[in-house]
Amino acid sequence: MKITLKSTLEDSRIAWLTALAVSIHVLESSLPSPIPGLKPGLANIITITVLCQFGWRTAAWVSILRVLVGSLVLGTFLSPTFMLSFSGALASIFILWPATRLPGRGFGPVGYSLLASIAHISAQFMTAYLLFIPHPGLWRLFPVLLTFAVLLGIINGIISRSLLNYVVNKTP
Amino acid sequence: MTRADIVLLLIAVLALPFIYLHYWQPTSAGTTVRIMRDETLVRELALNKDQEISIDGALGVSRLQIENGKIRFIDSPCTGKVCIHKGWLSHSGDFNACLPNRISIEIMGQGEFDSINF
Repeated sequence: MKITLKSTLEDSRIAWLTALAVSIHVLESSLPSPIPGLKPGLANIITITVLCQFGWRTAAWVSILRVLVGSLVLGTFLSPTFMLSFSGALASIFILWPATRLPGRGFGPVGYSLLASIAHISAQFMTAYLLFIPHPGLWRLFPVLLTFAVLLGIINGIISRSLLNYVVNKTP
Repeated sequence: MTRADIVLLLIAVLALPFIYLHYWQPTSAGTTVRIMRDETLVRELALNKDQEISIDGALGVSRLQIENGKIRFIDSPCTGKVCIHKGWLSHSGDFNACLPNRISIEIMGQGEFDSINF
């Protein structure tokens, strides 16, 4: 019996964009980090750009698939690293859904990126506290990493905005 | 940037100092200390009574000293002596252990969590 799977245009678009996000995810994992747990989250630039260009559904697919495939490539699937990554990605995607439905002009890439970044770090701390380090001392690290999350969220948003300008207008 | 972007950015930046204030509050002084051998509670002592305690561990006897609401290891039959070098503990939530001797101590305060319940 031969099974044929029909793939739509959206499927292949998701596949292409996920491949791009996974490459960035894997490249980034080889960068050294000054503080444990601090990562620039460059792959999220793709999520935000996709969100602005193709909508929430595609962005959710790309984000979740990126974490799954990225963890399989890096060999961290179902490890604590993966749990933290996955909970962060889920939280970002959940918070972005109502954010895309704001009336008026709503958020731009910088707002989306900042919102997702804050949701990401908060969910990661909750996961770390509930699953791995149930000691109140853990939360002493939260303000520091939240500060970096806000900074990197804004920077990633600005990168995403210029990427969008480039994609839409073909001008950097 | 849209107006929503700017509002969000302002909220995030203005909230940060309060987040620091909230999460970096000094911890309260502890009232009691729990001394554990492996997973079991051996003694729970008040920190306001100065004394020296000897606890039997896996390797031998560890000695602890309580003074002025603080506690420290003063002797342990381990090789690293990490427990002794950690020094005094006094705040609730503070934790120290002599892993080779299987003895741990944790300071408890009022209505605080303890890390052992995991």
